Amino acid sequence: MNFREKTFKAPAVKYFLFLLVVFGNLWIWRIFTLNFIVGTIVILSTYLILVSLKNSKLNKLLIICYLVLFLFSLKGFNLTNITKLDKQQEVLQIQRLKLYPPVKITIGTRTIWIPAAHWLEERPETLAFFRLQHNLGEVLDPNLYFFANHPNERVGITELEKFPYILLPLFLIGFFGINFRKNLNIIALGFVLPLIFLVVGNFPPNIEPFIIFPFIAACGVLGVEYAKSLVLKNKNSGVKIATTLVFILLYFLVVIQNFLSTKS
Amino acid sequence: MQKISFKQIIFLSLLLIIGIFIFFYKLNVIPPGFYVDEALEGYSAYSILETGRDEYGKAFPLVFRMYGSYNPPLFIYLATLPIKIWGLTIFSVRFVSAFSGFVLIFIIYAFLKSLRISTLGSLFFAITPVVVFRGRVGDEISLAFTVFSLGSFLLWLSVKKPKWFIPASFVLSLSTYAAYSQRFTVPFVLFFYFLFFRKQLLAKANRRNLFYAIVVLIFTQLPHLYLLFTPSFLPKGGETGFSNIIMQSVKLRDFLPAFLATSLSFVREFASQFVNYFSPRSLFLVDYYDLPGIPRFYQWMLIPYLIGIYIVWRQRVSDRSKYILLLALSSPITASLTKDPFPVHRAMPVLLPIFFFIALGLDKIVSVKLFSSRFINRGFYIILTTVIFFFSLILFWRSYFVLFPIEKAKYFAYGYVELTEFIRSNPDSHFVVDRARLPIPYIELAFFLKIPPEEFQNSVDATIRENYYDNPPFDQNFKFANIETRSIVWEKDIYRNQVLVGDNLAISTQQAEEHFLTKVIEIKDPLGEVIFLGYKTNPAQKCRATRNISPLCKPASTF
Repeated sequence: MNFREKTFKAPAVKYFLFLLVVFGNLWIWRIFTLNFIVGTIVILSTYLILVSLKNSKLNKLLIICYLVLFLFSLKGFNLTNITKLDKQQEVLQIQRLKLYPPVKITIGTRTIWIPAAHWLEERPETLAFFRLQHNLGEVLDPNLYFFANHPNERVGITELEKFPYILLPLFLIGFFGINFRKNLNIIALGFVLPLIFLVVGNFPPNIEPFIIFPFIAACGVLGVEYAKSLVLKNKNSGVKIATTLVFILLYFLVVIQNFLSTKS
Repeated sequence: MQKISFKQIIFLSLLLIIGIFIFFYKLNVIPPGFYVDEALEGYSAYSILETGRDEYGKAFPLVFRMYGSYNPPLFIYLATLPIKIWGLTIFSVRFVSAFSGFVLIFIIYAFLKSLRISTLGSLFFAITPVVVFRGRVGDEISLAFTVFSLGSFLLWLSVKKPKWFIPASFVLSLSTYAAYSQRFTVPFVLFFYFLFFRKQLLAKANRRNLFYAIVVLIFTQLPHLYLLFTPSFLPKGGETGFSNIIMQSVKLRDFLPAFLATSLSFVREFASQFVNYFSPRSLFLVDYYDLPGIPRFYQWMLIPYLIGIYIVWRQRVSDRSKYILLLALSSPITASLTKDPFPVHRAMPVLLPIFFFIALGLDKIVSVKLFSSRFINRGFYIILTTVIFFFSLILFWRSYFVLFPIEKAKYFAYGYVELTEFIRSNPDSHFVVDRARLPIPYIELAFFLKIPPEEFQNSVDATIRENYYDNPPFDQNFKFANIETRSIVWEKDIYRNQVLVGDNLAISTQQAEEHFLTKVIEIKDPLGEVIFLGYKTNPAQKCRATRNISPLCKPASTF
């Protein structure tokens, strides 16, 4: 193994990749400006998720970190609001209630009338179902995290850049590369619980869903490491160096692009 | 040939019944009204059937000129058959689409079977909102998707048996005559196919097939090659996302060289659009803008979708996964180059790989053994499938059969049936239909009044047919039978005995009073909103009241 190859496999490279993903985005800096403690815990959680995924063992400190993050995220949490409609939705509901035809089932001489309009427009379960669907749509969208919600910008909301889009394919590789069976508890803590929290919490649309940051960043790091392993397979050191430099250059160019897009 | 088992026969019969119901039930009244694209294609088909010429008098065009654009011909030529059988009706025009959607269920069934994925997916495909919605609109989109899916199926068969590459090339080439966007999507699919399966394709034993397939492609693309350098080949260049790219790049130009700024902006714009086609939000969680209260796919499909992607990624070296991936990578490219977020009419081919992800996930879910007894396990999944199926049907019924016909009637050109009935019952009156805010009313009127095509062809500018493929300017004003579609000219129109028709903003109550107009017709949509208002003019009274101040009041006036 020559010097160049040793350099590629050095632990410092591993940490560089971690730092590149965790600090090479506009979101973390915004989180830091909002709350330094949250920013620190978010980074620590990212690291702990990576460690846990690599060992397929849930780190206890990670649970504590998430508990703290959940506590910090409680502002705006509104569980009671899930079946409440605003004025515009109420008008639509009243209009829709009138549109249903009478629905009945006739068995022999017996007729059972089904209150379809009430069931599908008014029942709290139905309202909660559609609200949760809407809320999940707000947070389960790669465009929100990698393209400042473009091309689905919401009216009246300033959409903010989060991760550079160059990280998206690597995030996907990282995410789908996880062994879900072995790491079920880590995925539950880092991804499923935050998602449920954000969906059920019925937060206002301009909220920063920073509780999801560690998992996305961790998947991004895994994806970058996978890409690195592909680069390492190449026997030509020149190609390895060139690929790495091009990637880093592109990464920073995209971060600059994100920054400039946000400025105006 | 494989034998079909009794269970398969039962399942196929079920698909048949569901397919007939879902695509043909109340087809003539839902969607409500008759969308302008349906009227354009329907009347063109009628015109071809009656005269062999389109509305401009062009004999058997290679592409059809429609309000300043050009549409591919396949749907129109096929629509002549149902029009021949049932006459010029809404049902006839929608029949080709609905039949395509119906056939597509069975193509998907065969496709899933050959991909070794549970055919249960085809049952849910048959009731998927976006598929059914498009299948019941009388335009080219559903037909194009069916032809594309058939071509993709044959292409998949060619991975194992290269001789299928020849019919695959033929059908995929044919699909480029079905929808505009597929002229671009199909080359991308073939390019990715070559990239992923080049070893099989270029193998010595397959060279003959490859040669014949290329010959078929060239031969079937001759009409497009003929049109290649005319404006009719690329009439929708303005729909690309370049304006967004330029806008984004302007922000970067102070800090980055122009070339780099534009390149980065292009990548961002394209990537964001591309990702949007696979976003859980766009597919499963946000209401489909054409249908109220339902997403493009059912919400629960999100789970099998994610599982399906996971399986494809895990088995990415297998031919099946490679093929689904190639479809997923190639099919959204064309639509991603346009500016609109998720225009379904351009992005139908994307639905195919998305559906394969869902079907794969479903397949995985039903293969999980929850109970040790095979009988109980099977029973559990049958009950679960039935519950989910009926739950989905209820959601679809609510959206499509209850809310959609009323809430979206206005956007589906509702009211023309009533308006044309009124025009027909007043053959001696002259009508001016104000087209300021109405989307291309002339074709709706021509369709419902069944204006003889020769009469219509004679009423349009003859020079258009001479320069047909050169995209001559589109004049929105039309005059045929006892109708004119144009803007109301208030200085003149009130001095002539006629009926002025417009939407609720075209003629105000004050204008009606000032010009002595009498309301003769008012058409409302199912929500009670006025769509059309018709006023009869009273030139004699107007002239009396203004003491014949207008020269048009004089008996010698030739207006």
